[in-house]
Amino acid sequence: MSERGAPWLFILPAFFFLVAVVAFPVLYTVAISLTRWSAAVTEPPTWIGLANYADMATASPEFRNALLVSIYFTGVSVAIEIVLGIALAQLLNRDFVGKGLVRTLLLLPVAGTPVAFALVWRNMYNPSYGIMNWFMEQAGLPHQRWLAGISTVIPSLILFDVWQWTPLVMLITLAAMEALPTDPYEAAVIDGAGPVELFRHITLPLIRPAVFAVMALRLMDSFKTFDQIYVTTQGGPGTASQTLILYVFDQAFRYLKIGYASAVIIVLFLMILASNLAVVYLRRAAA
Amino acid sequence: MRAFHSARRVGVARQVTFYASLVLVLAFFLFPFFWMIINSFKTNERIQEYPPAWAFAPTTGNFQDVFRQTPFLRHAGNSLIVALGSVGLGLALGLPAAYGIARYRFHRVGVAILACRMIPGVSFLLPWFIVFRSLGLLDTYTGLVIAHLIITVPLITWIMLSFFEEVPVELEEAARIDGCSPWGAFFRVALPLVRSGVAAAAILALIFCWNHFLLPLILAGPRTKTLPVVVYSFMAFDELNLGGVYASATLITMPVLAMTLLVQRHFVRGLLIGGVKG
Amino acid sequence: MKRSLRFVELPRFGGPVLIGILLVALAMPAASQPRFDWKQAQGTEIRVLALRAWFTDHFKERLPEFERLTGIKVIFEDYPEDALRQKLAVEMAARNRAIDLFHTGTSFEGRRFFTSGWYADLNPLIRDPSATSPDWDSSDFFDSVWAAQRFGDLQVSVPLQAVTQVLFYRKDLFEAAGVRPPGTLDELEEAARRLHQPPAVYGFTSRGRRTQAPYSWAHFLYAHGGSWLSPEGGAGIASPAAVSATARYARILRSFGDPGVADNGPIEVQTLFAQGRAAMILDAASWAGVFDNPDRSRVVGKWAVSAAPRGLAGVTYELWAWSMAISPFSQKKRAAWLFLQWATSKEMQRPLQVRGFPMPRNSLWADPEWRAKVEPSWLHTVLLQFRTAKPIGHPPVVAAAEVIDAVGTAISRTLAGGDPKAELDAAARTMNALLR
Repeated sequence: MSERGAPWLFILPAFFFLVAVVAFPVLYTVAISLTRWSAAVTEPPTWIGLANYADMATASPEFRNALLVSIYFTGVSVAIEIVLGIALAQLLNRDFVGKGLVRTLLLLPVAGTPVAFALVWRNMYNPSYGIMNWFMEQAGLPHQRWLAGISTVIPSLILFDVWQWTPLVMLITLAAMEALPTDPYEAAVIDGAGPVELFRHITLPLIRPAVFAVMALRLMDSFKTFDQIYVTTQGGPGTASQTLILYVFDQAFRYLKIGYASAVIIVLFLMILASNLAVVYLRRAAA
Repeated sequence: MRAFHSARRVGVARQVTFYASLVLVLAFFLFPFFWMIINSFKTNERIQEYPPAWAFAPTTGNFQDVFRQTPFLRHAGNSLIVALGSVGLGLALGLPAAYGIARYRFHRVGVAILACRMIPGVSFLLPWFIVFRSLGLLDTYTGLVIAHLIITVPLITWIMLSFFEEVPVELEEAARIDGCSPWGAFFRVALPLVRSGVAAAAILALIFCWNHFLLPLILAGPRTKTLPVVVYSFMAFDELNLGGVYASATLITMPVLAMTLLVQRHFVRGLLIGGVKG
Repeated sequence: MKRSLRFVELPRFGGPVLIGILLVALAMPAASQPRFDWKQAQGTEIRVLALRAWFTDHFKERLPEFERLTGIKVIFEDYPEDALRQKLAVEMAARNRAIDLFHTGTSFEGRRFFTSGWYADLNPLIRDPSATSPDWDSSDFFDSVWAAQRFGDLQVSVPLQAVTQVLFYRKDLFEAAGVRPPGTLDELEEAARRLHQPPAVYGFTSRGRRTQAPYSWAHFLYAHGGSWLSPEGGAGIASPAAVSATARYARILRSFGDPGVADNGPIEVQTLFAQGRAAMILDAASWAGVFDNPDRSRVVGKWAVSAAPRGLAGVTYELWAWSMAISPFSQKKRAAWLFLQWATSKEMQRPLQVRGFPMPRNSLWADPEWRAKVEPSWLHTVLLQFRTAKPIGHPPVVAAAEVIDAVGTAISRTLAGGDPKAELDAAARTMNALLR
């Protein structure tokens, strides 16, 4: 292996993977998004330029609905996951018996199979015999429709998502907290700071990079959440839980409108990109 | 930081509050597992009872149903083959790539690989389906392994990037001075130093592959169908076999949980490195 | 033929005995007809993309018999309804040669699949005596159901059942409350009110999920005098009749349905009735087989059936059926056809009929064993409805899925308290755009 050529050889296999396995579908999707193509007919795709995108913006209330649902679902669930995750990390940030075990146990929602969980939660949420309503009853609260109510479906899905992913946020934040030095704390205590001040003025700023990192990660994944919603509600009731990705799935595999679906995929990808850039910007601004 | 906190005086009341909160937190996150396992031992009638039955006569009928109605072990085997294959190939591609990016600063390639994670999986389905069909790769292990690379390569690269960045350049330079080739420096010096990172990345990738649903739903066929798809199709048309649903959910989750419990140290490290340094 | 009946009634483990008897019977001079060559495609392997359903389970159980008979290996792949449709869409769009047979609901996707050329024409195979066994008897199928599987000149599929929507009701609860089974939709609402005792029993429940609600709702549409298409060929779903039908459907479900009604698909409705939680449901007559199964049902012997209730504009009964088709891209159509005719033969369909699932063959409805145990009100109602039932289409347009979803969303939103006129207007706009 020559000195000059060496660097390239290392990345060559992965580069090849990028081109063959990734670039082709992406370019294909972009190309198809500029056509009208229904997979149901034998006609080849017809070029229509940006018409699909125009349709999305002006002639499609379903697209707008999917966009809003996506933003609602992702925005609220990620926000809760971050806040709750940091709070739990703070709680666990001490030495106690069984800490390793607790950390491991809390990993389980993250490691398990989403499809399996979705089936379990769907049954737990059943308004007639599910255990969630039993819990409500024990707490003296009225029964809910959960996944079967237009106004309760997204909060129900958010709860499920929070259950599954908060441990991820918690673990990462906890690791960041554990890596912090003790000097600032000692100095602050000497100055008379209480636990709240310690947290707000020392812990929080110092763990910010980790928090932003995990926020970016969650945003990216949350927009792509598919298994859980597909298995529990399929986007229902009506279209109340139809996020962009479920909307795309219907367009492509139920209506066979490949051209239009490709355009929506591109928009979804841009949204994910935008949210990541927003986090990068926030991180820079906060520094 | 930890030591700091435990060094402070904490009264009994605070200890109790702490452990109480801990129990509540654990209860919240672990309850669905408990419920899933318990219900897989109930008959269909008892599952649909309200108020829910906490005490009941357990039955293994649901598990028998699952094994009778689907070749469950064969599908588990499929999941395993696809996951191992994809992780293996992912390591072959991702390890050198992460090393190359870290050592030779190919930032743009790095960003490109990581950006793959942002692409919704759905956009791969139809183009791949058409290509795979022409190449005869539908319903084959080869096809599925290649498809799952979209999960393993970015993940492995991302995690290993941080590990390789920590390897001191001096060690490799010393090896090079001794006549080692660049590949040798990678393989014999850097790689052994990041062993635990490799373990972490591999296990994480394995678990995410095992859990994946969308790609096999469309790209796999009867021979290569993986477990998540099998579990989903348990929602039958004319019978709601809830017991079977719970049993298959339990069966598919158990291996992953066992894996996680056994290698949690690596799993956690993988997540942390990927998250904190990413 | 006697030979065939014996074939079916022997216990499965009598394989060698079976073959022995077959050989003997074949040697008998009584077998005067030319022997049909079941083994003409032996050694082939075919793949079926199937619906996860009771009939699929039946085929899978009996597969070893088919393999012995023909030497053809069959690989079954079954999925729930929505996933099946998605998989079919992808495979057909990519003209995949790997599929040989698939289940199809011609009322729903028939027009689209036909227009796209995704059905193989079965006529050449049916008319070819070397391809079709003389026992198969295509004239035995109900005329209307058989005709519903025809588009243009093509016979696209063979029916696996014959279904119409009937009103299942709990005769024990009705007797106890002194209520008569409803004949009109107004009586239905009244009966539901009288029998609604949540959470133990719900008065009337039905499908509410977006992709499923329009099937049950359609009955209300027709009973109010509405139709999918207007006389001019545009969307008929925003007509005053449609609006009043939707308002009533939503009102009844909101008042007397189970709390999860907005998410109900066929499985949920069926389970609720089978578990004794619903006093009435209006749905597929084929579910009688489920309600009579003591392993799954708590209402064995407690249910009866009456005709789907009339509305002010009378009543229209709709006919539909899951059927099985051959892929036009298959390279093994002959082998696929052998399986198809075996699966839809009298011998294979009879056990299902006896278990309570309505089969599309005239001869089976005269079967004495089944007649002895069938619920009389069910038989009476189904025969009555079959007399006038028509296959209409869910809906009768090519872009069926999108129209169903649009209407389903309108129903869903009305169920949640929305204004039916506004919601249906929006759905009609979508439908009109698709019809252009």
